Amino acid sequence: MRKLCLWFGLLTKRLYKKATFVAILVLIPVMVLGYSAAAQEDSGMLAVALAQKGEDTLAQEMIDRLDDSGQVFRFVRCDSAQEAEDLVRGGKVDAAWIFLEDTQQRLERFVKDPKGDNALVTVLVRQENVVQKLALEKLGGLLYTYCCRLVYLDYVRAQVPGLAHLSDETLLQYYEDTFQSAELFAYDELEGNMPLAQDTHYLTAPVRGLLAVAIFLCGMASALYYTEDRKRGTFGWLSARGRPWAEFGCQMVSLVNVSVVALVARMLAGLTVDMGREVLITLLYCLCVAGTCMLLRRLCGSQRLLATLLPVMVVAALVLCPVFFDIGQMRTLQYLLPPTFYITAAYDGAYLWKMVVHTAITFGAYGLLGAMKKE
Amino acid sequence: MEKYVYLQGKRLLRYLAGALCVVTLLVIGLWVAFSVLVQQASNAEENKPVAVAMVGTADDAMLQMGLAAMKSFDATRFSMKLVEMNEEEARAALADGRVGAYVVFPEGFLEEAMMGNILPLKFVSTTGAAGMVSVLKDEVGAVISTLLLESQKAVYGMHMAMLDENVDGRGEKMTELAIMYVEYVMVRDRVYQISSLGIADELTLEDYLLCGLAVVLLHLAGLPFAPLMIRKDLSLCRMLAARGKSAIGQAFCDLGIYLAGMLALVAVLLVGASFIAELPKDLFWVCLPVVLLVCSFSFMLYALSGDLIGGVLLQFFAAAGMCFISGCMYPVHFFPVSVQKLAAWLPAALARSMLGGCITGQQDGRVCGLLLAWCGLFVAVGIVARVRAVKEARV
Repeated sequence: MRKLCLWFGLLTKRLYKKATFVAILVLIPVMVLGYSAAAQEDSGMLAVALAQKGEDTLAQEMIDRLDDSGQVFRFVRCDSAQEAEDLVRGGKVDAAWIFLEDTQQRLERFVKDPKGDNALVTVLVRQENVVQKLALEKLGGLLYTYCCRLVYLDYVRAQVPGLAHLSDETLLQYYEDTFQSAELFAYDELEGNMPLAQDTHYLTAPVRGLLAVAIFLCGMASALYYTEDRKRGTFGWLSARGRPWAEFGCQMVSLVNVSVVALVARMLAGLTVDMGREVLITLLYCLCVAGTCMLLRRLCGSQRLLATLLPVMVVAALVLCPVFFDIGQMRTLQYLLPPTFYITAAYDGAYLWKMVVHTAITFGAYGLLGAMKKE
Repeated sequence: MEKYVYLQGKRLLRYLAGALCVVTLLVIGLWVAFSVLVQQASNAEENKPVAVAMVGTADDAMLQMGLAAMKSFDATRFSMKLVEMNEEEARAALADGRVGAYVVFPEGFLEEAMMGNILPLKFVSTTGAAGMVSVLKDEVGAVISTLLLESQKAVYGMHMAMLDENVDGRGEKMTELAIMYVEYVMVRDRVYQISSLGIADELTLEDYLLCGLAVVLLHLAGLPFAPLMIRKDLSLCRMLAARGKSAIGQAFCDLGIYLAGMLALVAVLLVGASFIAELPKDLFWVCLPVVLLVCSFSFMLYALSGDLIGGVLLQFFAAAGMCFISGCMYPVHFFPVSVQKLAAWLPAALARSMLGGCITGQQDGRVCGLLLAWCGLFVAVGIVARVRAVKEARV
């Protein structure tokens, strides 16, 4: 055990002499805390300018009801329709919703003739996309709540003479009292999935994946350093059986250092799940990356080929693993890259076992290749 | 000095073929990323980014009708693909990523609704943070809830009033009002009129992402040249310096050779791309300051790092971090205003604007000026680091 600690200490000391490695260790918490701080600020996938033509209390009430507490929309209140239009034209916002004058009268006309040309709002967009469509659904939903009340009152007045003696206020009271706290959707996770400790913000959502890729990159860099050590004969004094352990040691030292910093940074930013689980995932992930990088080193042979492969592997990990988006149809390819397991194991226990299998396969292949190459 | 340039040129040729292979693989990877990002945000009918499975609708004729109406007429058909499955299939499809979520209609949902009881629908998704569904599910759920619950409030509000006042014909009136509401739901997109201003001086999302990912590609394309730029053994530089060939001159030679290599790569890529799509005529000339920026940025990092592996790592982390904040991977307006303000001054954002100007045909001289200022700064820092390294090696 003492010998193991001594080896770990010596290899760590060697690593900390490399200024770049220290710089990366500093960059990781800065990046994670930066993302976290940015996510606390007011942001949204779609910025919408809100304005009204003329003074209308109903339009003002509608604008006040638009809620941007979620992370999809960011509403910018404007003093005039022209200001909202200028913001769209200048690319400062994605859309403008301009509530037209005489909103109440327009709403009444719409209820009487829903297929006629009785729009209440002018929507200015630069380009239509899915989030824009969803935004319009949100606007439609808001206007529908007002429209619903009017349709109800109109229908009761015209078609139910038995309720003619009731005032509008009484009828609306019946409307308001019905399904006051009904929830149409009960949200659930896929079987085997665990809910995350906190709501994921779209800005911090890729952090876990980016760190997984960064750790993988450090594993690749360790493999490069080891090829250099082999060339120099740094571990030449070790027996042939001992050298793979030296390589494993070099890998684990850098991976453990980076992983611990990444874990602490995420913990400080409040982006972790259960701590015990995180430690287990981190430990397994270090082994998984070590296996993959050692195998890649043996497969490539030369430092140049490995260095050439590095950016390709990183881009492949960023694209194929669920970092920014999840390409569901490419599951098999995802399994080849370790970051998939680090990202998914946080909420899906099955991926812990898959990670163990992946690690066993890579170490097995590494041993087999070593025996074939007589390395 | 000519001999040094010749030697570096020869070294460059050794790396060029490998760099081209790497860049080709990077182009493929980034093209996949671009396609997925565009598909997620696309408005095209055939490109619905959110596939949602419906469970428990197959045996109910009314729900089948409702679903058919939603698929054919409703506005949500532009953003969602609804597919019917049983729960087992839906669970497997969700685990495989073929659907983003599934909704389970409980047994007797409609009968209970007729009685005024809303049985909650189970909306099942994965906890996975990546993907549109996880971000949009609350908003989509809120919209659908509003439409259904508001209609039900009216229908059952009237029912309760009629019950309290002992008015007959409740069933008939409720059905009539419910049908009326279905009509209003179907025409809810007529409450607003859309006016598209066109993209004018701004880019479409596709063009924006294309420019952003091109900047990322250029930064990563510099990585295969790291062995050319990072010398572990500075004895040649020391010897040249001793013979009066200054370290500054050598650094400029290195930068020039690196720039030539990158321009050669860009030229090959553009020639290749011109077979696939029609490119703007001045694209190469617009790329020139952008390539200069990328070269000077990595030149500085390579000079600061000193060793090959450290240089590659530093270049990757710095480039990826800067490109992300500059909105090369996400549209920049996704970020808070403070980050947007910072991003506007970052070199990667300026490079993206420069490439974007090529598409819109409106180049901003200020952007080009700032870009060149950044280049000057990076080159200056890189040269200082290089001169110091040569001096220290001399000692």
